[in-house]
Amino acid sequence: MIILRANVAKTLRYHVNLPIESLRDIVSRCLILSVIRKTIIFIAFITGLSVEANLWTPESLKESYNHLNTSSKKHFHKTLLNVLERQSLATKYQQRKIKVYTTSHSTQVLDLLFDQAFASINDPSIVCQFGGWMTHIENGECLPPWSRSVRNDPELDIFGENYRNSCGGANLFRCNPVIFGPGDDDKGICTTTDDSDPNLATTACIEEFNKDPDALQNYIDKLADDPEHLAQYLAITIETLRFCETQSDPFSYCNELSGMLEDISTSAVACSTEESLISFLPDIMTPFNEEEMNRITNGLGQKAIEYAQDLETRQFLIRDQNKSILEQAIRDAQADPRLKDTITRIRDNADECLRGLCSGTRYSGSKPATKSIAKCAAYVKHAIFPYPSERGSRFSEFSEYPWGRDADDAVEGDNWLSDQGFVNILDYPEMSHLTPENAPVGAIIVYEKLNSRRTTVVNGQRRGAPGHIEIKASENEYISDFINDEPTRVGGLRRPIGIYFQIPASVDDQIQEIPEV
Amino acid sequence: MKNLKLSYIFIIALTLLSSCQCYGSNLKNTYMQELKAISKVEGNGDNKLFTLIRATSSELEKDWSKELAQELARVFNELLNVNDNFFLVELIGPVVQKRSKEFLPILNKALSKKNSKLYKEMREMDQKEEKHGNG
Repeated sequence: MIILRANVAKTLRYHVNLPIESLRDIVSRCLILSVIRKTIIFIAFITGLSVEANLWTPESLKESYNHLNTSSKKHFHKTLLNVLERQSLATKYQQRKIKVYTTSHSTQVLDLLFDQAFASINDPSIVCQFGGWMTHIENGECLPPWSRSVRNDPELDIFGENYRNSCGGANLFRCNPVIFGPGDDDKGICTTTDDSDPNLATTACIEEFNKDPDALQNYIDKLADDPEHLAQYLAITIETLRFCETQSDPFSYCNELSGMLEDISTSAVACSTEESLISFLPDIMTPFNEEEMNRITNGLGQKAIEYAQDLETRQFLIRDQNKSILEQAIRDAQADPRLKDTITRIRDNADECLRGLCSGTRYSGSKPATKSIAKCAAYVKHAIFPYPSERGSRFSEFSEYPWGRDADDAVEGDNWLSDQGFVNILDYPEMSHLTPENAPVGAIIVYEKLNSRRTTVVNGQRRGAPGHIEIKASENEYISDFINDEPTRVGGLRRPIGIYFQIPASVDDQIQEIPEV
Repeated sequence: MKNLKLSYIFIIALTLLSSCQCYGSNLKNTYMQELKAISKVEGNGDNKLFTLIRATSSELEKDWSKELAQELARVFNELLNVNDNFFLVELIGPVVQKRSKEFLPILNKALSKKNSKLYKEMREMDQKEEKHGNG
């Protein structure tokens, strides 16, 4: 029988237990299974079996394996063991990560693999503990928290602030204040150590922390009063436990640090208010850490999941209600005679030269309706804010005509549209799915221009040069100073940034805030 | 043993180089085929065609090909036959700006007399909009 004793990585157990649509889900996370797959595909290839890589599941993999002849199975074993051996050497620290023993030639490898947990330090869901900071593992090495790649990694945000306050000298290391307290300058303890070695740096931090005999109790009290801080502490504790558990020969600090973190965590959780802590826990939970979470929080992990599910249901309901309110508001805006007359006006104006706007072109009194004269914003403004002499309902009087230099661009449309109660409905999360193509008729669509040196600042946001503005007059009719039968995206050179409707301010009173974690 | 290692490195390098080359030429071939399939532009043209012209122009900016440039200029001329909106000049902007020495003679040759004049007007209007806005 073959016994493969690898580091126990709970993550892989989760991977295997999770519903798996295809083998690709597994192989993306696990080198071992990747090799099995490749080996079986190779063997199947040379033995003439039909293999469809995308259809692999654990069951089909087992079945295919059972169909191999003895020689192929031996080849499979040999390849697998070679890989495991290579992986056991894939670290710069002098510790064996995977132990491989071969005691006989039985062929129950797949059963063993799927029924038990196997993984390696290379599992991407495992992060490394380095002086209280969680960092990445690269080529089996724990990256220092002060390295640029770690500091700029958003995936590590759940562990709180990144390493940013240097201690100002060589061989000085800043311990994570979340774990080891604020130190003298409130930024974290500075300790003298080799700041590239996770063992030395972490051990030095533990020693500094333990110098104060009251540190432990003081810290527990502080964490218990600050649920957000405690949640970050728990996140680091849990990942440290997982990190230390994945190694057959743990880092020298693992025992002491794991014990300290676990003791402080359980005590602080016991002293904290459950309701307030639970609201922060969904942020730090992953599909891989539920067991550790339940262990150190006395079952709060399960309650946090229930809290998150309940929150999600409430969010969904509120979004749905908000969407209905906004859709009704848009229908009301579409029924407004002023909008209908705006559409009529812009359609009628498309083949006219308004207010001498054709000057500098070959046209004077009239122009082709499909011809743009680079005056889209002017034509849209004319349709929305017509002269008093022009027929139809209007959104504003001529005296308020937004004709100044401050409103000369399409991209600046937001400024003069919002003055008249027009609202960019893309700003509502419930409406952010809208595009010029599926926007309701009557929408005023604003685009920014890409690939331009000129920029504009609208509502504090930097935008492109004069882009485009048009009114969706019907399903296949987008009108500005010309009529287009599709949104004027100009092959991707115009990007929609606003879809406007005049929506009463009272609608905002009906919109409910989406509860967040 | 050393020779064997060197041979492996050589083969890998050759494979990588040829795959990069294939990727580039595949893109060019695709654009070439799609442009060649257009003998006449229907209606006013559409965003799909505009995107093809823009992508080809960007490709030529990075990796010049006379044959592809000729095909791009021909299709652009076809487009101007049915659509004279100024903003279309932006579609070939990348290759006009970065490869003007090579591309402009090809474009001038491909454009009809009428479209040549039109192209000039369109460029002027585009620059005017960029500078003064469209309000």
